[in-house]
Amino acid sequence: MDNNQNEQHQADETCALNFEFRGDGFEYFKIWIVNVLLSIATLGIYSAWAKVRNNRYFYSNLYLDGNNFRYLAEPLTILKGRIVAVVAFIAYSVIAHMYPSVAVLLALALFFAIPFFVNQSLAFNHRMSAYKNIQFRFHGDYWEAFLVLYVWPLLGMLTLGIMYPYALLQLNRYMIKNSAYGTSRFDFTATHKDYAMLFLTLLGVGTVLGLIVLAISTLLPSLNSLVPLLAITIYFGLLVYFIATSTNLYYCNSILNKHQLNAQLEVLGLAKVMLTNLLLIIVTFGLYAPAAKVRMSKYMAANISLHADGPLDSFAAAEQQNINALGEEFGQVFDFGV
Amino acid sequence: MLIEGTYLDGQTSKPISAQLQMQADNTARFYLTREHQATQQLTIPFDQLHIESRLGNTPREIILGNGQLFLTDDHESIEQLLKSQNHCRANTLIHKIESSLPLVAAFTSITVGLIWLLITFGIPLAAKTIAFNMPDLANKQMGTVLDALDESVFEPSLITHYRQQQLRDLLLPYATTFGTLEPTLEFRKGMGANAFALPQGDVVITDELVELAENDEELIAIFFHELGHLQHKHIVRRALQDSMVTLLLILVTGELDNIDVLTAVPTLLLDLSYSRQFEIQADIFAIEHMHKQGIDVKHFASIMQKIEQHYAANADTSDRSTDSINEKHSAVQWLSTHPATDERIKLINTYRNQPL
Repeated sequence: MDNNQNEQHQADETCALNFEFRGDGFEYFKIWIVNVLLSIATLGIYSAWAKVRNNRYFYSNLYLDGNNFRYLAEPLTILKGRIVAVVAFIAYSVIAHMYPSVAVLLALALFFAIPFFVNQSLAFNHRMSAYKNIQFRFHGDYWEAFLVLYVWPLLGMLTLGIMYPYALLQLNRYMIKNSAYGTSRFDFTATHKDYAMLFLTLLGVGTVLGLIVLAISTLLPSLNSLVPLLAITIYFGLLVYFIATSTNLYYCNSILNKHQLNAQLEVLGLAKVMLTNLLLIIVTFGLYAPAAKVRMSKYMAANISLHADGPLDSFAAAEQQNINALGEEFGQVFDFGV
Repeated sequence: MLIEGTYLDGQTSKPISAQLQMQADNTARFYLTREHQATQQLTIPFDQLHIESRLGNTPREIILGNGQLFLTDDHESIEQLLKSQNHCRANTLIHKIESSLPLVAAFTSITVGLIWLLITFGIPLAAKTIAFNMPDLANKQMGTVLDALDESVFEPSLITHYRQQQLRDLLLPYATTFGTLEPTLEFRKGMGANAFALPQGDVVITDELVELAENDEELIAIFFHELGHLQHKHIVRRALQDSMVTLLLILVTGELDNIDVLTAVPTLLLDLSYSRQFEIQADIFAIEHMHKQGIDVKHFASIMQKIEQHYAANADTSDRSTDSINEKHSAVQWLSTHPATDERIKLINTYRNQPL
């Protein structure tokens, strides 16, 4: 730990600090399986403790510049949020069943409450994440969230997808620009062009490959049985391309003070991790799932870095504030995750 | 005993190298070494420290109060410290379980066994209990399924009113036997040769299926099969079982937002497996009641074969419907809503050879 710091102090120029995930698949499996059994045996009550322990494992094993991140939430806070959200969900279902007209009003109220809950959830998660004992913050605004969650995506649909890249840009910008590490705000520098290019590439490559498959199926009918396989391969390839490129865009345009985040996910590398994970999960009937999560975290961390402009020692903590886990747990139970 | 670690004051992001030493008066003393400065001391009573539970190989976290934090990788010394202070065992209990291979092996087998028991017995039993104790009110809402189907897939039947009345008269005696289920016969066109039972008691038979049947007994067999679904409340139970499987998967994966292909596929496979079990139950119901009414169950086998041939013939033109009374293929058994026709006919023959 100390060596890293000294090296960094000596460097005057910017230096690339790699993220590193130090977790281990089998170690996490052991934690996970104990969590699963205790959660089932307590009819879900232990799941709040399980969530904290799982999250702690992934935060605490993530290192940057020799220091690890931390997850700070208390299980009881999560449990309270979860109970309120589940009770609200059951009440909503019962009312929807018995008084459909009241349910319409409730659904409308929920529609307008969702941006609020999304902000609360982000604020809770940011506040419960810390690095070098400084918490992250989220300063969301209700109407900004409303635009990003409803208006821009709707516009994307109404313009048959032409405005969709803009909607995604606005969402990512909203998430990053309102995030803070202590008192320092993040900035987001991506432009419309970046997102338009991502979607145009997807559309172009998708169309060309689709036409090739169409040509094969018409010219060589004997290969018809291969068409579904080709279609799935193309779909998966484009999906991985989208995940890799949008993740890279997201990080490469995020700046904290003068420190620039950077991500270099590669389509082939990511596809390899995703496919082998999927295969191993299937042959182990799901028991490989925890190790798969560790493997994916290792891959992601290894390909994300921070170009630090000087030492990361001068960030200051923001003032204390209390946010309950209600927004977060509401989001999970009513299923409107961001 | 000096425990090496890092101190973070919670105000700035500057890590300070630090050492922890227990004092004779049960206080913990932290020596903080800042660059170019004299060593600073921080003394805090041991019982005011919050020592986080151990988690894998992640640094041990000691919270000093006021948001100050001491991190160390020296797990050995912390364990000794906790022991010497007679610290609460719960702090390390979970980690002890996690790091014991025999215990992890036991937890794994118990979890796998428990999930298997829940899926095979627990969930079906719970769904059955709920379905038979559910107030009727709950069923009414689902009864609008027929309206929804009329708007989407069904067209009005082309069977003449005279023939429809004939068939109603034919099936009425059997319907009244199960008056509590309030079965009402409906004719519709669409979805191939098919029959459905909807939870409110509607039994829908499609025109194609009526045409396929060569005699009344074959239609009676179909009607009994659908009555079996109603009698056993299969639709409600299947919906309940599916929700319970989803809940179980949420408990296993821990997070709701993890619902994706990996959890959707097992949910689907389980739903199909439950569906096949219900089909067998409805078949047995039909066989038993045909037997009771003195109708030869061979008619059940013959209509089943006709439906299979019907779908085999239409395989290229019509899509395979998910709730058809029979499937065109039985190649991939566990991907079907219905058991293979061969097996269903085998079941019928077993009953024919050994009457009840």
